[in-house]
Amino acid sequence: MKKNSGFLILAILAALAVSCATESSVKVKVVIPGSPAVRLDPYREIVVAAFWQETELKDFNLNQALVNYLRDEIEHQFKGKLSSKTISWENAQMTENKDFWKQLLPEPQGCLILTGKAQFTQDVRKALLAKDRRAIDDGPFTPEKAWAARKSFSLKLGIYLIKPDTGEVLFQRDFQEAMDYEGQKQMAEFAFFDLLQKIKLKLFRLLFGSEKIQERYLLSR
Amino acid sequence: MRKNLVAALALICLSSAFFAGCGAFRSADQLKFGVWASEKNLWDEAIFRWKKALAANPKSVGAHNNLAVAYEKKGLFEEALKEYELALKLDPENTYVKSNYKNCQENIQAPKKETKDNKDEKK
Repeated sequence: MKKNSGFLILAILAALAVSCATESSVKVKVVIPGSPAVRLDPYREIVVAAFWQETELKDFNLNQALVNYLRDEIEHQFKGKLSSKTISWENAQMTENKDFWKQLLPEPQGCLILTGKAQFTQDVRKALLAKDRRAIDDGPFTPEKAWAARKSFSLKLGIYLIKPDTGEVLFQRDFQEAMDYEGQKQMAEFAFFDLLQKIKLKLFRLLFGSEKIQERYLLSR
Repeated sequence: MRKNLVAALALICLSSAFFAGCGAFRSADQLKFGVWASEKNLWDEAIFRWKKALAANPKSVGAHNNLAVAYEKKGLFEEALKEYELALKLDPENTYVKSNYKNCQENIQAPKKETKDNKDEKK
């Protein structure tokens, strides 16, 4: 009887030791929001201010389009308030002028200024291309080569996030996108928004992060 | 007399082991429940369970690790890092926690590195 109870205790202890020693893990797939390059959640308002523009285009107010676009798009993702402000740039180095940004807003606490430098250019590229011989023959004097024209647009954006209470630059990133369009009727506005859309994807990944599916181990002991 | 003393000592040992074990079992149950909840995508419930597991057993590596995963899922990266570090302090050689911690760190550093590279390019 005594021997049996001894064995029983030993068996229980062994079972407990085994159960304590083994580690049980579960591999799970977790959708993890990407970590943004800058934390925007401590701020209550973002003020989108006019950009420095190197060259202006005829019949197209780039600054207005840019400010409105960024303000509206950021508003969908940012939990705080969005507004816009017109400022007059004296030169491209004004981002470093802390005093200017410090006096810009009446209540700078908890605000961020989004501004930057923009350059939108367009040019026409022409090339002399060999004519397709399979095309309908127009007679003995058909030229062997023909001119092909493409309209090329390029958008450079330098985005700055400035803290108006200190005038410091919190975040800075340069973006550049270019696109060619066949045919010369492509309007600058359409091209601008195509390019801006591409930049937005990259910018928002940095400002708000992007979701990723990753594997993690959960422990159940 | 001696027999009684041995019996009393054995009783004390058994009861203390029982109550200590109860705490550990409560913690393990909460841990498992939390894992089940997370698999059903009920992450708030999972966090609640793992916090309870920690209250019952503050040295639970599993609870710290799982809470860190849940914080990552919620985008609370600083809190996640803190929990991973606590788990690694308790069990520095745990390969699962080490792997999770490494991935979490990489996620946090990636956008900062991208911004730094951009600045370097400009220089």
